[in-house]
Amino acid sequence: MPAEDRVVAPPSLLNPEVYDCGESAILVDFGAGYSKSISLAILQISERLHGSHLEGYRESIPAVTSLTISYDPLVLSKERLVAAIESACATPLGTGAASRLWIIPCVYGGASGPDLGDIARAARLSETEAAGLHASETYVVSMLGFLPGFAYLVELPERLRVPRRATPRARIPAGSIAIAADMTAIYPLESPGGWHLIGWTPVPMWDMARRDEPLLRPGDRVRFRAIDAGESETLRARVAEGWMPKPEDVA
Amino acid sequence: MRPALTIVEPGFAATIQDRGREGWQRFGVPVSGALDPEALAAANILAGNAPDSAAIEVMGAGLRLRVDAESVTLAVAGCAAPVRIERERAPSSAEPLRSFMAHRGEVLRFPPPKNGAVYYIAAAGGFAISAVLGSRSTYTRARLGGIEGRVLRAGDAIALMRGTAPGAPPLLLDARFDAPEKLRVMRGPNADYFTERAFDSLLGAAYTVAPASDRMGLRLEGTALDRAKPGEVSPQGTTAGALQVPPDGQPILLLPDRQTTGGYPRIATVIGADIAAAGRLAAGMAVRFAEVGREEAVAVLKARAEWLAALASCLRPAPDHAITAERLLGENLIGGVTSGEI
Repeated sequence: MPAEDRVVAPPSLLNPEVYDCGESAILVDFGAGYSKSISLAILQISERLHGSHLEGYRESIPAVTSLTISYDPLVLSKERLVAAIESACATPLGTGAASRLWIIPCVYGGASGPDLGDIARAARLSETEAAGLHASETYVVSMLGFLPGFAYLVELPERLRVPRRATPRARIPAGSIAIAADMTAIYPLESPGGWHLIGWTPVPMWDMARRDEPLLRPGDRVRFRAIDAGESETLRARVAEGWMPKPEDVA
Repeated sequence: MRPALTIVEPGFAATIQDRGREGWQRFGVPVSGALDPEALAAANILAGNAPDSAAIEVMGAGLRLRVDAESVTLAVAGCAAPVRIERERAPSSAEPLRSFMAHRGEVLRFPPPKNGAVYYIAAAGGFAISAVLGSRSTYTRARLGGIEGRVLRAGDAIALMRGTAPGAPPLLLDARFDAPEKLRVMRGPNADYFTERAFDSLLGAAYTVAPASDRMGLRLEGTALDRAKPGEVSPQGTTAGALQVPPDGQPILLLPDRQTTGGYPRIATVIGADIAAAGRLAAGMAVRFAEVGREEAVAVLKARAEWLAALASCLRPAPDHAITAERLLGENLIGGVTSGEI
């Protein structure tokens, strides 16, 4: 892992604004714009709160630049909750827990990724080059949202960045790999959506019959590996038999 | 065959709901759960269940259930009218907020919600439904929970934990679950995206619930809320009761099936004490908003929680004579019902 990936925000950078979302939740806002170090710090603070057994804490939703925390104000005062967050911000965050690295197989282009041609033309690349560029980056899961198990993977290469489609599609198949703005994602379920479809993976993002958590968790890393239709069919059959990729733990 | 309530006609958008899934929003899973958790609690308390147990949430007309068990004690609470019980001899009715026994082969015809959006049917002993991620609540968008993660349909057999009703006498509960005329709000986390005039509009004018509303959110129509600055916020976690404002300026009040994150700025948040009431608002109803501070919001939440905790002690034995349609028609059902506030 490159050294810069391990840099975590120094405490001086973490000076969040706190806003009420009603009396039972707060938004902790770490400022505008994505920064890898802030994003990782948000995820670590969220994990700390989850593990803290702070009475009255309910749950938190990490986002790219903020953390939304719900709590029971009849049990936990806002002052105590904010103090716990400030203490989490002030304590050196270290390098955090081991981050998992997933290699996700992807069939690029064709019927699996009908928008790859447009994306490649806009970037003045061939489809193969555009797919290669997408597969060259190691992405970080900055947050989950939109749908159960929908992971927002940040830092799409600059040349592939395009705004969302003007008209969203009514039905995007589960497993579709898509891009929009500076992010890429994998649709865990069939759903409507406005992102550009560039590929498809046979790996299920959340098989709820078998697992009580999604494949990708906030803070995980993801790389895509181009596969052809034949390998896709083989993997699809293995998935049906219960196969799942295993993460490579990165200390 | 397992004892069950079988759907003869599904009606409109009936689902299984409990208090919802807590702790999964960081993985993108909405909370879901009852639109009106107070009415859910009342139905369950009348049925002798834990207040947060799974029940049938009724949102429209047309639901008919057949009793495929020797007998079952049922209770209805929320924005409800009397239930029609069809049987070979002497059809009858059962009032809301009063437990009643139904027997094998009887068909229960449920009315549409009355003066509100939603009510609940609880069965004594509860329904035998598997929990998904800790909850039996249905979230149709991801096909989670309830019966195959979808709205109920004809032929569904909702299995009962008990095949015979206990011999306990029927109970009634003095409580009201009315749709609100006013909801109290606190200023939202993105208040700086709006002009002061937008707050004047929100707190001054009435907003009407649009038909496009669903379990994700109430679409409100009224004076457009002016923006002080354009654009969206970086996606942030959403919360119950948030009033998010898309570019057209018409607010959407977020309900249990809301997405866990969103980028529309939020001008205000309905306070916790009024969240259940917000869930009662039906299309076409008008609602106003009043601003309160955090301390007041916590104080009224405490009062509301105490009222809910005391509901079980408000149960009274119901008169044991049969309730016939004729008698119901001859009686004033509203008189004598108190507000339930303590």
